[in-house]
Amino acid sequence: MSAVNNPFTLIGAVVLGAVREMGEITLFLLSALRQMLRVSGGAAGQFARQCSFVGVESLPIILLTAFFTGGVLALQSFNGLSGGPLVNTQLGRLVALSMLRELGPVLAGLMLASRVGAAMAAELGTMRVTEQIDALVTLAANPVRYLVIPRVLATLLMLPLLVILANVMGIFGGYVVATKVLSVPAMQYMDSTYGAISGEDMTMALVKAAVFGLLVGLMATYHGFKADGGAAGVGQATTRAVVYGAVSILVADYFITAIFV
Amino acid sequence: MRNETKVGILVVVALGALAFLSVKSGSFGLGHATTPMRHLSSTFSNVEGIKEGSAVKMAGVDVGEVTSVKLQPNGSAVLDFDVKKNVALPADVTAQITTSGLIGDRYVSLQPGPDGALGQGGYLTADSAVIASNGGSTSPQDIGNNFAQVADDLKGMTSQLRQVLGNPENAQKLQQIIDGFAKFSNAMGDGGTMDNIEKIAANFEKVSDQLASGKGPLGQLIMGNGEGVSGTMGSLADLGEAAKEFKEVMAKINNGQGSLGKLVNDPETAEKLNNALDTFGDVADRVNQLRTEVAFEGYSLTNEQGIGKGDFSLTLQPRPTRFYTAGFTSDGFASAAKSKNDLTGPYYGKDFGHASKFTLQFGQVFQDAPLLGRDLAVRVGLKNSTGGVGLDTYGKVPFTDKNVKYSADVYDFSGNDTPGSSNPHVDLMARADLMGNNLYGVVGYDNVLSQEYGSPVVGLGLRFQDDDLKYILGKAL
Repeated sequence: MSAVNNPFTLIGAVVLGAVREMGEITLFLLSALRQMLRVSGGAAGQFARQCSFVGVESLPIILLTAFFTGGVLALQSFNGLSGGPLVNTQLGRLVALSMLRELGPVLAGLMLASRVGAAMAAELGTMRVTEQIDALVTLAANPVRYLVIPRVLATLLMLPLLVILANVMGIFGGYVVATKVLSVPAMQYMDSTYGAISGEDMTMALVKAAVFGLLVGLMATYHGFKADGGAAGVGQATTRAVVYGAVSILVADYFITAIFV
Repeated sequence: MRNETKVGILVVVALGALAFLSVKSGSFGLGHATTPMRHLSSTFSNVEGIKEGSAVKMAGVDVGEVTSVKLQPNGSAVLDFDVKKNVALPADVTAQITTSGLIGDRYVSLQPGPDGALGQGGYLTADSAVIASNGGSTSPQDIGNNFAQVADDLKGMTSQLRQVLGNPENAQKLQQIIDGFAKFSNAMGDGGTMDNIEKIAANFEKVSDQLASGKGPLGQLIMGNGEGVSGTMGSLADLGEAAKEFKEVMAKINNGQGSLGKLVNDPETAEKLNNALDTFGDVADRVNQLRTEVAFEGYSLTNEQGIGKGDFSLTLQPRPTRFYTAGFTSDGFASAAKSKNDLTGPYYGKDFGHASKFTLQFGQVFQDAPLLGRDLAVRVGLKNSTGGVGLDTYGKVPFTDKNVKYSADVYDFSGNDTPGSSNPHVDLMARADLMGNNLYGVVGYDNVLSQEYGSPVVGLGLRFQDDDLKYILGKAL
């Protein structure tokens, strides 16, 4: 029991490390929340630029992802229904509900984590290893307020908007595939789509999107801030930001779905 | 564009999409809070498939939705539903649960009662009311049950029928019925029917009397005596004569007299005839085997200014392994060289040979050539007025099923017809059918070994084969 490389010691070390990391992330989040209520003029310009980066510039890739996801959903649902009598009335419904409730928010969140999360983590990580953040501290500017808040707020607010557009694009992608490839009558597809969407689904999509946005921004800025050890450290921070962001999105997805459904 | 502007546009577009979806999906379109609603309820024995939010329709039009489903102590279910107030409901409206389509969503259907359908009776004015229901919901199982009932009834009927017919007593009864019917018809016949039959019989008697007495041409023909019989007798006699002569001819044939007789009786003649027919058959085969093809081709050289070549060729193929081809080509280079129209053209005055060049080659086809595994044709002879050899083989156009013929020709070995060159003239061509059997496209390279005058070519050709030629020539004649 006293050997250092005991398997139990290893398990204990891993678990304690994970808990410690979660604790640090939570403290970071708390400090960010505290600062969030004091967005000053300098940070406002940053905020606009971040929103443009996160929202407007991610739009093409998210719309592309959503379009093809919608198309794939239509194809697979068609297969699943064995092309039988249910297809015309149920296909639109299946595509719309899958997109709205799950795939729209999750895939948009994952795309955002890869694109925006990596970029933010790399940017902040480089600033950390080149001591620019320390420079900010010496200039009596709060780096959390100046760097982290705009980014987290940007992801939190932009992802719901992106998810709305992604859902519409996904439904459109399903429409194109269903009418052009699978010969489903267009009117029936759209009718079943509109009939299937309820306020609850849309609310769930938006809530998920907001939570995922917060998680992506949080993971990216946290790991960027923690970067250490030159270029390799920045690379590690970027990787961790994307991975943590994606994993936390998927875990949160389960919990939110469990609460709602 | 400033960042704020871009973000603002994104926000507006996203919120617009959200609003569009909401309105279209009707989750806010029905406007529970804003549109005045009538609260109705109805009791059903079975509300299978209906839940909160299920649609309420009248004549297929959405007029409201179900707000609650409650179970009563006596085992029936009460549905509360809201219907838009501006929908005029007849006073005797009833509610029924039905399915849209055979397998589809369930909804509550409002139907006018007997008076309401006729337009009589008042309208429902109360804000909340209890309306009658049509029992439970119908499902595909119900339809199945109905069919089962019908089948049972049918079975009952057929078993009864079998009883009736199978029973000997019943069979006897049937026989009695038939007997009675026969008697009845006899009784009927005793009246006017018998008279008619008698009349017919009397007429027939008269006719047969006439025939028997040899009256009328038919009678004369049959009986053969009496006056005025010459015409008929004459023809009869002729008939007899003809039969006699026929007999004589047949006798001669049997005796082997005359060529027909010889043919029938003499084995040698029969053999000679057989030989003649065989030879004729061979010749016909040979003629059929001969394949003919006439082709017109034109292509333009893409690297040279406005130069093209036209080609006419006739190919005769007496058997699959041998063919002869003759033709002439009009050479664009040579025409440009001699043309007085453009004295400053790049080709003027150079020596490209005659404008019309002749081709006459004989070719041998090697089926399944050793290296290629496909047919390879080798041509030798005169090509474009100089000695030349050529190779043809077949392949498939990549990604499609079309056949393409690859040809390589080498002629003019001393480069006489290409100014400033002493290399042979090498052409590489690929021809593939474009439309049906007649139109084909040509792609290739003309004069590969010449830097100055070599060029890729592209063009079209028109080909007529045996059937087409027969058709065309038939029309011309």
